[in-house]
Amino acid sequence: MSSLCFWNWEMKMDLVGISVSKESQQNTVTQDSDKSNLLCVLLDLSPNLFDRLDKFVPSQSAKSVDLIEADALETFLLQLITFLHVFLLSNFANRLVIIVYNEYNIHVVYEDKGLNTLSDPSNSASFLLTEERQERLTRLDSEFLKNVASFIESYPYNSCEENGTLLSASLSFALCYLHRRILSERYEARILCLHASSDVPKQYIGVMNSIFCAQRWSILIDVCNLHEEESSLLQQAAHLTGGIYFKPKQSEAIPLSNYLCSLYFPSRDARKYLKIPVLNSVDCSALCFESGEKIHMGYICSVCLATFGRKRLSCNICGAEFAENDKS
Amino acid sequence: MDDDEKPESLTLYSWEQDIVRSWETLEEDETGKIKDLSSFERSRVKRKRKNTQQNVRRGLIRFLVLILDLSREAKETDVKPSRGEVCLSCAQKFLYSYFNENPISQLAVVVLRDGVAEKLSSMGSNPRQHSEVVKNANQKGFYGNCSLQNGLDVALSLLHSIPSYGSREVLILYNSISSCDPGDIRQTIEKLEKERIRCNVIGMAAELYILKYLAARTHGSYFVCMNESHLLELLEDFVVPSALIENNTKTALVRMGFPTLKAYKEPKVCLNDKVLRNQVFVCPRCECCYGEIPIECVLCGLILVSSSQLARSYHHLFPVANFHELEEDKYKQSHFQPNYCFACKGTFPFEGSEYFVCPNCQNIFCGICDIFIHDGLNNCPGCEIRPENRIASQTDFS
Repeated sequence: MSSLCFWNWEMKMDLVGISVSKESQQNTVTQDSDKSNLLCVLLDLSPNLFDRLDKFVPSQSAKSVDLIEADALETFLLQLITFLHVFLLSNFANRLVIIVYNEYNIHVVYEDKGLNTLSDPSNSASFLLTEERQERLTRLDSEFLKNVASFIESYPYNSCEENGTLLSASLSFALCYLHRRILSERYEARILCLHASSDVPKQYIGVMNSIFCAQRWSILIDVCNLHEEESSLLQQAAHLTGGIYFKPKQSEAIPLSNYLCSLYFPSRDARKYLKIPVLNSVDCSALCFESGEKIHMGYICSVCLATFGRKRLSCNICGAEFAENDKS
Repeated sequence: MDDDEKPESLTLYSWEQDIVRSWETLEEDETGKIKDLSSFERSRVKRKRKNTQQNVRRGLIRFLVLILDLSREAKETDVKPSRGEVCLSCAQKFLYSYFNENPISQLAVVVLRDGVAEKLSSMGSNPRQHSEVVKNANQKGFYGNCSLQNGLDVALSLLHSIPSYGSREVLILYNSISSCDPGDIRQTIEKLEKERIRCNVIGMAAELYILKYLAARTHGSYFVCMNESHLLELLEDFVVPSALIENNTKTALVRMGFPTLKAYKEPKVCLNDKVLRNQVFVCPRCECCYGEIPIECVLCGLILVSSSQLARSYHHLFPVANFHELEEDKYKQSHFQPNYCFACKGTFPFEGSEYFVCPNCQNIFCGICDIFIHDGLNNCPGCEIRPENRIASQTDFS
């Protein structure tokens, strides 16, 4: 069922692909500002994702537990691939890189090398008719699925609570990768983060640094939160960089590919004309460094900017001693 | 910065230096375009400079008075279009990067013109407001004498009421080669010294003894800029919070509020600019509405910030360790050589590739990523994956 759906999508997108790229061909003649997109997909492959897979793929009739899990993962990945096909077909100059991460490591599982026909612009029309485009998609399918499988196999399945998934590291990687490509060629770069784990307080500074860097280089961070709780870190990431934060509803059996194609596919310019879900309130509250609780009013050490919920005599981060308070 | 730390170009007069043939450093790439070596060189210098300043206590909550000299000598055209115009445009760029790096710090702008000092904007942390003021500062024209003492007096009065935990600074962009003062300027400098206000000066004209004396007495620094790009480079040094001088500032717990951004159906009046808005920040103590933060609540005096603004300053406290440069043949000898950069996955060797190794995680990075990690990202991707968690070694996907 799912694979049939997937082929259907691709056929539809064939038509869309042709019309869109014809337009862009005309555009390149008249205006040069039509930038191609560079998308970096960050995919959380930690056990947290596997636990929640059944929420995002249509449930199937009773099979053995192992089978369901393998099937569910495959369906999930195929839905993601559908979105990636749409992305690649919409503009032949679009580029793609996929990074997966869990609690232990990070891998680049797929890196798009672009097309040879690109060097010759007169060829672009015939490119649509050649098999090269099809080859590109099949290479994406096979390489992506193979590398994901070997990535999952090489790490233990049991979740490693105290470390947390490597969100800050994967964001840092993605930014280094995108920065390098933006320097040499003009791309509109964005990151799509499919995150399925809860926030790790330890990674706070790392993630915030990445967000500020993305903001400075005007790289969008789109977030698709697959975890059951809202993530305040990722909400801030999307809010500060101008990306979309969205948490798919689990109750309705809408396939993930629908969300991905309708929300995250439009480029930055196209989003101006669309009604995109907006966050109603963004949590700007800080965490108390001592108790880890959220605070709306607190005290800040003037030396290291550590936040505390209560008055205290010395800072346990930098060791500064507070004799008196000038401000009440 | 001490005198001996300055690069050679700043300690020698131009007639004492070797002849610089800038045109000979130009290089063409394969397509015949001129490679921009100067920017690369600059970042190299910057990196070296950064090496010397790590793990020091910095004054993160800054209160800075920016003094701009717009007297008659700002009309001089030795830099184009004129000293005053260059000074104002560079000051605007400085304002933006100052608030970008120090969002909870404050700033005031003072101009020296016609023998008096005029306060253009009072202490505040709204970059747009200050930038607007600086942009329109040239409308009155550049005329009259310049009085350094009047400027410093205004700065003193502005910084007098600042709470003791803040780091108090004055930054002067000085165009003239004289100062026309109403009294003894040494007494003013003594007062500044007593108040522990650090004065930094950048001169656009020739070096002046009184400015050098001012900087030396107040633990500041004095530079004379050569051209516009040099001025920008010098200003960039003052964007990063400087190291604290012992006993200069007291430590204190500062009470702050973290308002939430709330959306209302009916618009609310924002107290900072009297504009109606639907999305407002609400003070957690007195429920006043504000359009932007950071701001000091006008009703209850609570300083309102967001946690992300605090986080923006954290990288000054926890900087990424400097990477060691590897010689090319040394890199080739090393047994663990991966043939790509750990961060950007660019395959070695590519144009302008250098090899850097992180002292903590032992991963190899290229020159571009080294600069990016230290000047933009402030995270080492290798150290973020903690080494003890790495089970399998990196496999090659090139």
